[in-house]
Formats: sequence, C-alpha cells, structure tokens
Amino acid sequence: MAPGSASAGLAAVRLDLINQGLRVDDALVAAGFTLALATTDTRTPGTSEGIDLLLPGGLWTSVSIATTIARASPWLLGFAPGGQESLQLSHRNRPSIPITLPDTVRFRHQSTPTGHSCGDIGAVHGRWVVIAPFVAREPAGFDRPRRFLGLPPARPLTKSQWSIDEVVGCAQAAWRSAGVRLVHLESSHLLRDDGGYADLAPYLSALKRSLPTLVSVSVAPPQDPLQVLDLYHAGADAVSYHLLAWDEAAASQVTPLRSRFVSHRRILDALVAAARVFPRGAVSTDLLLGLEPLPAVEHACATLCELGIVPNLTVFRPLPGAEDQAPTSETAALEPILALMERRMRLMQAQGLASSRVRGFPRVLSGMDRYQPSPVDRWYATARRFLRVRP
Amino acid sequence: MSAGSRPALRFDNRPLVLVLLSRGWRVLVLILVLCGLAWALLASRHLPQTAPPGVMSAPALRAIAIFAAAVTLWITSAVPLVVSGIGVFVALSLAQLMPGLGAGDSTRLVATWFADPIVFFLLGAFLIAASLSAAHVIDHVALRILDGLGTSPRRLRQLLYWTAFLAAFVMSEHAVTAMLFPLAVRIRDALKLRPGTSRYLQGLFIGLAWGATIGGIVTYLGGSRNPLAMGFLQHKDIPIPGFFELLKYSLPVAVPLAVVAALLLEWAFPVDIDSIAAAREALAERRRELGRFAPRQVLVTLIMAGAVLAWMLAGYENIAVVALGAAALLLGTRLVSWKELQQEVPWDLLVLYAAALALAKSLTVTGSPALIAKHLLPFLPHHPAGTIAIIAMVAMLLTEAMSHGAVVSMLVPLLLGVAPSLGLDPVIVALAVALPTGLAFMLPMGSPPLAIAFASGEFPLSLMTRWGALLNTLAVPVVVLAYLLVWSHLR
Repeated sequence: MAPGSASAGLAAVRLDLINQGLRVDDALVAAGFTLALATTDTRTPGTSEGIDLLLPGGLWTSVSIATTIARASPWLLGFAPGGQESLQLSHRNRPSIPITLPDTVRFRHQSTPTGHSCGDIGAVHGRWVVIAPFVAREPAGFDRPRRFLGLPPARPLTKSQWSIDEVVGCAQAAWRSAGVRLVHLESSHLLRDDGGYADLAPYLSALKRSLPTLVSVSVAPPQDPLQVLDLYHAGADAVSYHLLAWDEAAASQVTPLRSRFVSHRRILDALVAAARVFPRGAVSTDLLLGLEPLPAVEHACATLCELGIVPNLTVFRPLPGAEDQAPTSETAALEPILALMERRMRLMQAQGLASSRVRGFPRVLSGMDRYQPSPVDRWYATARRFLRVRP
Repeated sequence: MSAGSRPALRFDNRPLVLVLLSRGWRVLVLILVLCGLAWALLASRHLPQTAPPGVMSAPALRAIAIFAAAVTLWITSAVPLVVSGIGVFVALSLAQLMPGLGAGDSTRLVATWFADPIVFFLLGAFLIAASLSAAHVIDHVALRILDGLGTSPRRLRQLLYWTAFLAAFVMSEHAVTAMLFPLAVRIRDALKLRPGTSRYLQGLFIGLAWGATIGGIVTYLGGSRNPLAMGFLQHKDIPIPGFFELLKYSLPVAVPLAVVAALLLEWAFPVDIDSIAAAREALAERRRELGRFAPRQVLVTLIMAGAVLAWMLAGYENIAVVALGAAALLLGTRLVSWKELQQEVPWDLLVLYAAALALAKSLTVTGSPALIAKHLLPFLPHHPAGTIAIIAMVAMLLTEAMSHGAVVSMLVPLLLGVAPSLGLDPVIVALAVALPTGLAFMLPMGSPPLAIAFASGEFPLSLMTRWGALLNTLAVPVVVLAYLLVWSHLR
C-alpha cells in the first residue's frame, strides 16, 4: 500500500467513508432506487446503520448513513451525471468516485423451506454470508453500543433461534444466488463456560455436510482455553475472539457488561490457545481505533502478531442512538491510521500471517483483503483438521 | 478438554509431514504395494513364460510379487486380514500364473488352491473349540480340578497354570484363556487385595497366559499354526505327522518349557498371601452356579473324545473330515447352536490361512522356491542346529508383533525352499517355525492369552515384557535341544 498508489488511495477513501459516513442524495431516494441497502428489510430500530457499496475494484464496504456524523458527512451518494443508470460518490474536495451496489436482492427475497426470508436470517457481504443463529443471550442492554462500523449491518431476528435447516437453507440460497462461498457464524453466551460453542457445533457440522465451504466463527471465549480445540474439531476453520482494545479498561467502555463476565485475560488466553490449534492466520481479534492511543494499538499489533494472532483494525463508531455512550464521537485523522495499518501489514508479513490459506471474516472485513479460498485451500483446511486432531 | 462425556481431543502439533506419515502410513503402504505389483506386472512382460529351475520366469516373478505384497500387508496390517486374503484371490486369478490357461480356468484353479483341506480342518477345529466353550465343558473340568486340589496358594496357582496348559491341547489357546480368566478374576476378587500389589496375583494371571500359550503349540487344536505349516508341506506332497505323531515333536519342546515356565513363575512371582480360603469359597460358588455336569456337557465331551480317537485312527489326511464331522454332529444334535458358534469362529483368519496356502501353491507351481532358495541360502548358517536356533529366534521375534498365521505364512514357504540345501528335513523346518511362533511371551499384541491376562490390570507391561523376554530366551535352547535330542532322530 505505497502512498499514492491506487490501492492506497482506495484504502484512504474506504477509511474516510467508515470514518465519516455518507449522505444519500434526495434525488436517489425520490427516484425509489432500491440501493440494495441493508435497511431494505429492516424491522428493528437500530439495525439500519449502513449500506453496502462496491468501490472500484470490487472492494466491498459498509458505510454508515444514519449516525449524526454521517448526516454531516462530506461524502454524498447520488446518480452519476447523465442518467439514473450509474451511481457515484461525490466529495466537496475530491474527484467523484464511481461505485456500484451489490446485488443481494435475489438472495434476500428467497425463502427457506420454513417460509422465512433468507434476508432475515443472513446478510451477504462479498463472498461471505454472515449468520447469527441465536438472539444474543446476554443480559438486556449488554452490547449497547453493540456494533461498530466496518461490520455489515446486523440483521434483525424474527425469532429467538434459527433452526439448522433454516441456517443451511439460507447459506445454500446465498451460494446459489449471490455467489457466496464462505460462511461466518456469530454466537456467544457469556454466562456459559464454553462461550456458546456447544450451541454452535451442530450448525457447523450441518453447514460442512451441505456445502464445500469454510466456516469462520465469532464466539465468546471459553473458560478453559483448551476448549478451542473442540471448536476446531467441530468444523470451525477460523475464529475471532474480540479484544476490542489492548487495555482492558478501554475495552470495557464499549462493552461494559461483557467485561463483567469475560475478563481480558480469558479472551487473550483463548486467542493464544486458538493460535496454537487453528491454521496460521485463521485466528483474529478486532481492535477499535479511537479507544486508546495509537502507540498502544501499535504495541498490541506487534504483540498479537508475534503470538500468531491477526489484529483487525477498525475505526470505532457508535450505532445510531448510542452516540452519547461512546467515548468519542469525533472523526479520526486518517493519516496516522493509514500509517498504522501499513505497519500492521508489515508485522503480519514478517510473521507469515498476511497470506495464509485460511482467513476469518472479521479479518477480511476490516482490511483490503479480497480473500477467496481455492479448492486446494479448502482441502488443506479439511486435511489439516483430520490429521491434527485425534480423539 | 472437551465438554460432557465426549472423549477428550488431542492436538497433534508435530510437523505435518510426521503427522501425515503416522496417520497415513497405511495408505502409503498400500500405494507402495500396488506400485510393486504394477512394476512386477510390467517387468514380467520381458521375461519368458517358462524357464529352467533357478531362472526367473514371468509367472514366477508375478507369484513372488503377490507373495511379497501379501506378506507386507500382513506384517504391517495396513488393511484388515480378510481384505488382504481376498486380495490374494483376486491377484492370483488375474496373474496368469499358468501359461495357456484362460481367465475362467485360472480362477477355478486358484479357487481349488484356496479350498485346501487344512482350511476345512481349521473350520472344524474352531467350531469344536467354540462348542467346548459354549457348553462350559472346560469350565467344569477346570473348576473340579481347582476346587478339589487347590488347597494352598501355590497349588492353586500351579493348578490353574497346568490346567491352562493341558486344556490348550484340545482348545485354542485364546479360548482356554478366555474361559479360565473369569475364574482367575474370581480368585482375585475373593482375596480382596489392592490391585497391582500382590506378586501372587500377578503370577496367577501371567501364569494363566503362559500355560495356555505353551500348551497351544502341542496339537493341531491349540492354535492354527501347526495345521497351517502342515498345509504347506502337503502342497509339496511331503508326508505329514498325524495327530499323535505330532506330539513326538511338540511335547519335547512344550513339556520342558512348561516346567521351566512353572519354575520361573514361582521364582519371579513368590507367594505373598497366607490363605486362599476366600478364593476356594468363590470357586465353590461358581461351581454351584454352573450346576452339575449335565447331559449336554457329557455328550459334547464324548463327541470331542470321539473326534480325538478318530484323528488317531484316520491319519492326517482325514483330519478335516473328522473335524467337520464332529462339528456337524455337535450342531445336528443341537448340543450347540449355530448362533453360539458363528461369533466364535475367526473368519478373517480362515481367509488368511486359505490365502496363505494358495500363495504357497502358486509359488510351488511357478518354480519360485528354487529361486528364493538361491537368494536366501547365503544368509543362513550351514549348521543344522544353528539354523534351527536362528529360525526359532526370528519366528519368536516376529510373532511378538505379527499375527501367528502371518509369520508361518511368510517363513515356511521361504524356508521349505532352502531346507534340502541346509540338510534339514522339511517337516522339521516347518515345525521349527510353527512351534516357536506360538511362543510369544513379551507383548500383549503377541498373543491373545497375553492380551487377556494383561487386561486384568494386575501388572504393568514392563513386568510382562521383562519376564517374557527371559522365557523367550530360555525357549530357544529348549527348541535346539529338542531338535538335537529328539527331532533329528525321528527324521
């Protein structure tokens, strides 16, 4: 990502969009343009924070449109000059950027055998379909502000748990109609010692039986770090346990309730144990930029890379309606963040983490990574599990 | 490491190449074997269909290749025994070992090799042994002996040892051990000693295994090694010792070794308990459970005795007829049911033996023994007693890790080819392999009796290995002395 290069410019744009959000031109709304917004089928307030865009080169990005900051963003999404066929991002001080919108309408309008819309069960993001089979099982209000930008919009759940058939049906629909080739499952149960792994295991094995896919998982860390082996054995190819900040106190600002149940030590122990079990580069953790000084984040990146853990850097932004709970609502300066991301990439390259065969969804999401495993990668992931894990 | 009652998982963090080798070696062996067969098939195209003795012909190369492949699979257990046995049938049928025979005729010929009378004898012997076990005949006899004569700790242990030794004359050694093992467990439980603390009890279980193992080499019924070895001789039209003639060869090994083992037992595992009153009460209770020696047991015993008599009178050629006749009588009179017996018969071993005999026949008809002898001879000493000692040692070492049948199937055909050049009688060579092959004392995988005794949990593996190694070492001079003092005068 050398300064001045196309990808560096794209990274800066992407970061700036995540940082500042984006306004939608009234003409676009008035024209009834579908936009393939993540908001299309939204039924629950607080889940319509963003839309998905494809930047030049097909780089998928989720951008906020609903936060206070976004409403004052210099970026504007509108029709390109000359008609209503193409879209562009315009900026007060920059040249316009042509963009396209991902076509996920076909996927979202498909139904499972039980009659539920696939759009209710999962969200497509690039080659991934992201599914949370359960309603969050934490105490009420646990994760407010529960998301940060960079992630795809959360899908509302119309019931407390999706069945295995529904989840598999949704993944198969995404496979057929949206070109998805990877599945990411999110689940956590902070009150249980296994972090919710046992609930997820049947879904993992059913997905592996039904599709030639790799499955990435974000779960709560288990009490016993060695239980990560159970998760790997069950079929998870990549795992993420999110530290959010290197400093425990800083992390607890955004996840106050999680901090009561899950210590930083428990997360870190699970990450270290997972790095010993999962393929190189398949274990990752999110670090939010904005919660602690950048030098502390850089130190965290170096330490994590040495441990074989991929640090994902994401600019923290609170959800609409939760801005007042965030430690900061100011937009961040881009240059230091871009420099930090560059140094993180070098650290990953030095540790052999940058070009691993198996990668998790959060890692792909937060970086400029267009990961798509080849059949050899899938074979490697399967053979490695068969060879390494013994009853 | 794992949740619930699921077995704990283990992560193998060795280098992937090592993991691959340790997990995939079976596939690797199979690939190598198939490559070897393919190479032999290609190479045989450049060889003549017929050749004078001592010169390699195409059929001989193919037969040797199939033999080597089968032995490799048996040694490594890369595939189940039954699979390699069936594979031998397929390979021999396709190998065109007899020039001029069509595909159908070739298959029919191989089928006749598989249908060797020895295989049918073994089937009959397995069925008879299973009948004795199912009818609790030996159980009754053993209990009578132990309960009546086992009046002191030493006597009780020695009686169990010698009962196992004698019972293995008429039943397979593992069936004997399996039947007497519960009695040994009853004795242990009645004595209420802390597991693994009593040398007496350790000797009780190890002695049971030793007794059955040594007794198992005496007749054609104690194990399948002797009949199998004789089957190889039969293929060469060599006169074979009959049921009782075999005792002249086996008893000079078995009896001295049994005495040595009995003495070793007392020395290595001294009596460290005062009374066996509780054990005697437990045995009496088991006798009460079994009840009287019912007509069923009497009839089974009579049929068994009749079979032994018939074997004595009818000669070796008819042992298969006698064995199957006795089995048919036992089943036909409903003294035992087929359901009881079919699970006791080791069908995979039967296929293995049939395949081994067919392989030997294929080597013979292709003139391979002369070729093998030519290459093997320089490695063997030219003193008969030295050769016997080496054969016995090799057989005993191999049998610690391989199936008995596989060792006999590998060594006997090879050594029969060199026997004349070494000045040894083929029968002696076959027995010099077959008898020591039954004498595995060191490792549980070496023989089923040891595995059963080890399952008692009374002694660590190192104990069994240490004393077993000593007994194995003592067995070699016993075999050599038997050759010098008895066998060499019989042939």
